[in-house]
Amino acid sequence: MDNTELFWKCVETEHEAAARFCRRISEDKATGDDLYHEALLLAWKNFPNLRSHDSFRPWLYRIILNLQKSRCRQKKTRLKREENGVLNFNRPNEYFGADVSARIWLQRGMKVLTPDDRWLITLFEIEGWRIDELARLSGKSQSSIKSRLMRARRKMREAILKSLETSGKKENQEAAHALLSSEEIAERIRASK
Amino acid sequence: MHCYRARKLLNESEPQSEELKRHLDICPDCAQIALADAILTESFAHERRSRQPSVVPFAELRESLKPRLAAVKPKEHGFMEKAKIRAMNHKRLSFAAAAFAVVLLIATLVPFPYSQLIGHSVILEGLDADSQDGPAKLTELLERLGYSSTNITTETGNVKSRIVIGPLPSRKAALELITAYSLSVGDIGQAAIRPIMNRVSGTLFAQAKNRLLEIRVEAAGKSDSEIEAEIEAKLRQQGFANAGVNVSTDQAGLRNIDIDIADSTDSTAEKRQIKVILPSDSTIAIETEDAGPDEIGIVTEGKTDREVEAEIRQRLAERGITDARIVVNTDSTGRREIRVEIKKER
Repeated sequence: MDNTELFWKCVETEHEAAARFCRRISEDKATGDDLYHEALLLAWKNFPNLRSHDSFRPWLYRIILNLQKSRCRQKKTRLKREENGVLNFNRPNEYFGADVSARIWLQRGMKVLTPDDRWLITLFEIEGWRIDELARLSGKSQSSIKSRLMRARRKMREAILKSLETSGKKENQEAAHALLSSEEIAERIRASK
Repeated sequence: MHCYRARKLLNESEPQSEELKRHLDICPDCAQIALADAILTESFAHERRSRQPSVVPFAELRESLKPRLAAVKPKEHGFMEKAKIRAMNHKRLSFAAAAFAVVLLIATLVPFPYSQLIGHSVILEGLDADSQDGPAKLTELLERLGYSSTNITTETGNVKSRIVIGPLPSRKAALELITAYSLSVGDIGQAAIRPIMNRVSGTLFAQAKNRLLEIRVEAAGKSDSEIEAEIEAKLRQQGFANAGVNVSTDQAGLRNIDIDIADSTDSTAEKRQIKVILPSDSTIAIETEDAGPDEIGIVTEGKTDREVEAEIRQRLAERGITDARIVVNTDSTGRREIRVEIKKER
């Protein structure tokens, strides 16, 4: 199998998830697709330097993340944390129903995270990456990734808790009700009042 | 259940136990945290399940990127790029290597000032200023002792005079001179020995090299006594006036050279070193705590462990070491292990 075929074979397995991920981290669909294409070109250019094809997935995502960071820098937008994020949650129109409520909560949680923690939590909680894959992607140990994820999740939970306690409590509680329909959680909300 | 324990369990994202549920029913604060956690978990789940706009089919993507990919030529990284990437991947190791390189460069290139002992001088004070035979006597004694190149400076006062003799190679040489002078003239006034220090500048490497004593002797075609005399002469040049050198040749034609430069009165010559040159396969190294490696040599071939042990004991006894613990063992592969322990003399 020549290099071109090998490259496309590697891309095929990651295509759907990687393309979706690029859209998530970009302002809109077109920019996300553009990011994905650019990342593939860069990956193709450096494909001979990939030591093991088993590492294609973290390698490709590393390229995507680096490219996105570089794009943000080029724009010279002084990135606020919420704008530098992995997830663009300000597009509720593309989504439906309870997803909007979920996105609002996630947006609140993500605000308090550092950009690196955002990549990690997005890939782990939403994209379904394993700890060892994240460790390979970031070049850190698995235990370090685990503790970073735990800390990030705790920070997000605290942010949600804070917004539950702040003004507009009623709206917040209603938003929580919209998201959590189970009897058990509803009871818990009542108990916490 | 205590709130601390409940929150720890909530952090662990484990399914809620009955005990935790009971606690959440009675503790509004923990219930609020549990609620926030449930919201977060559910939000992630919704995000995972959310309907994403469909992506471009793979075949279409491949077709659209084909001309752009053809225009880009894949290239392999050069040596420097690879090294750079590796350095970036192993930051700690790279930092350590860079720090080591910097230290090495400083040690080999940057000069530091340091004091170097170049000899000793003898100062004779309180001598009678009228006495004129002092310097002449000292010159004669210095010639007899083999230090003819030493300078004598006389500073004469109104009543008393002061004579400075130096540089002498060692403290012992200075003591010898004082003793000889006092024996020949009687009253010598006050005598003092002062080290002569020279402030020099050199790299750490040069400083270390400067402290090593290296003597090169061409042994080919020379008798034992000739080599002995040559080593003694070279040691004398280095300031070891009374080094004990013994050169002998055994029946196998191997030459043994023993050098004893121990000198308790001389602070510059505290180390003792014995080096015996023998075939490499029968050299035993004995490490002493403060004197560096001593080596004795024995021919072990064709000898039993007991015989080897007896020979080592005899060799050590010749050096005045009688309380050594010697263990000689031969393993199943025929490899011989020899262990010698010598107590340090205090």
